[in-house]
Amino acid sequence: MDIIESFRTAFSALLRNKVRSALTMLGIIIGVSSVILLISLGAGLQKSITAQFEKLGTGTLYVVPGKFGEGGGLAGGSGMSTNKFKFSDADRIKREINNISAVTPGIESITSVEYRGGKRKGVIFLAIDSSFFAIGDYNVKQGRFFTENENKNAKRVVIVGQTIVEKLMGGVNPLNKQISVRGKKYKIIGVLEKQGSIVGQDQDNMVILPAETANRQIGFDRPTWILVKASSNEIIPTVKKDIEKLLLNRLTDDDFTVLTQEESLNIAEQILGIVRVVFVGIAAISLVVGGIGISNIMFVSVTERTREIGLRKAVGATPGDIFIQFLIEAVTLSFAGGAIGLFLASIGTLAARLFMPAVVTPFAVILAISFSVAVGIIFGVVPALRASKLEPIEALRYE
Amino acid sequence: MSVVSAKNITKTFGEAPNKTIVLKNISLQINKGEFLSIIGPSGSGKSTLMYLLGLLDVPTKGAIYINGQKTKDISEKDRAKLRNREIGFVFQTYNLLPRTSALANVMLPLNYSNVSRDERKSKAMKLLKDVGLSHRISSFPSQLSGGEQQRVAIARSLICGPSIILADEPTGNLDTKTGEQIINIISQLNKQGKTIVLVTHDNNIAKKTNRIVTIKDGQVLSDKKNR
Repeated sequence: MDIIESFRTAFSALLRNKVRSALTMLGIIIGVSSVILLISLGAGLQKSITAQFEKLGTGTLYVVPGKFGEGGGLAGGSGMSTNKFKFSDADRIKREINNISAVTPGIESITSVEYRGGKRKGVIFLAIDSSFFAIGDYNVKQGRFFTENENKNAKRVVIVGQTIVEKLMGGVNPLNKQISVRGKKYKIIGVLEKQGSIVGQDQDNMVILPAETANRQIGFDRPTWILVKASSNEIIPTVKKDIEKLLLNRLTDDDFTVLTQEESLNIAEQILGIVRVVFVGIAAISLVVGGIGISNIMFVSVTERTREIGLRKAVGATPGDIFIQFLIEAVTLSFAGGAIGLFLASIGTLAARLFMPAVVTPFAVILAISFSVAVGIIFGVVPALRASKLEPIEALRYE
Repeated sequence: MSVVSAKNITKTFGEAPNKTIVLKNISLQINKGEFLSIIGPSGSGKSTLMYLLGLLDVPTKGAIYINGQKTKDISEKDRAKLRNREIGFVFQTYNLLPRTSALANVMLPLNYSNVSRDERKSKAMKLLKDVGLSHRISSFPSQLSGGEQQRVAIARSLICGPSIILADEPTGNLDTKTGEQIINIISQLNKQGKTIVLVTHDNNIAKKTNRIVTIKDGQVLSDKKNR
């Protein structure tokens, strides 16, 4: 039997039971759309995490509280509660470690900011040393960064992001204006270049204060992390060991971790990996459930159409013809489910773009199509075999 | 020369002790151009005989020959191909595909042979015209009367140019008048040279054929020339 005719037959058979076909496809639709969403969001997430690290340049080491990475795994984590860092740790690293070009403690928090009676909540609060600007890829669009002296003397100056200027201040020239952070006024000396958002977080909704100012004015006396820039990439392992040795004088092994950029990326990917495994699990389960649904409906279809099968055999259909007919029907079902899933995932990906970079990759498309076709074949074979093996005379007499 | 012949065929169903013998050692030769009826009471085994002659079923013993070719021990695939090429079926219940146009129903057997779609279509159109249904080519079976459905089925049985037409009680579901029309179409086909086997329990219909084979209790009771 020619293959075009088989597809024609399959389509008309499926269109005859529209609701049934749609419900049967549901499992495949969910499975395929979650696989594609996962891949495109995962790629986007990875991209933005990598971008974030790259912003800090190569040769950067992160000193973070808690035990991380090898041995400790992800458990133990970090957080303010276990944070035993002091500003003096950063100073000691600066004084005593060789082959480093810059060191800065950093405090990260969320705060609200006020300007002339207006209030903005959920603003990223970052307090750093002036040498941070030598490490990270941050530029001011207007004004300037604060100086080492301003930091040392805990001057009440602040650098703001674009969102603060646009949303809180109504677009006025912000330089030399006063804004309130945690109840105290600070003078704006610089505006950051637009940075966009990372993983859904608007990076322009930010205020940057000198670390010493945050310490004395607000009482943030513990750095959330310490960034160290090695003078060359080759020296990183040595610098890492030196910092560990130095910090062990005061802290225990469980209190801190020195991560190279590579290790930090690995940890981020490890977390992504767990998310991925969970999603792949969900997708696999729904594909299997969808496949069982297809098998089930194909068995029903074979039974309903026993007489049709008998007649087709009587007029010359070989067992192979019948097998192909029903297999094509199953594959058409699952392929259509896959196509709909792909379509839904594409819409989802477009929606996700509002928060993060996400793209439906050609790989995801090929994967979705081959997955759905494979499910159709695997779960369609047994019903199709049953149809092909029906005795023509029995099938014709079936009531 | 015989188009279809049965040599010493026996057909049993089930296993001992529930074994039922339906046909006992039957031999029958159907020659080219014959118009033959197989008649007998229900349960006599006449339908079973027809299905065996049509290769829809396999005899327990003996063999069926199509155009001199022995069909014992051939694969189901080859049997399907022989049915497709050599045998046309007409059933009591028409057996048309539901929600499928008359035209597509007539074309169906050609789907299983290597014929282009255009050729399939033109052949089916011509046959529907021959049975007087050219105005109903796109109607579904549910929109057709019983007589019309049976005429579609007859057109379908002819489309592959078979050596023999096997009709199982073709008028069984029709009123007398419509039944006569169907028999007329069938005898017309015989006059054009088609070999036809008609299974019936109705003597009046059997009388219109040229040879009457009477079956009773799985055996040939008589085999007489008519007219």
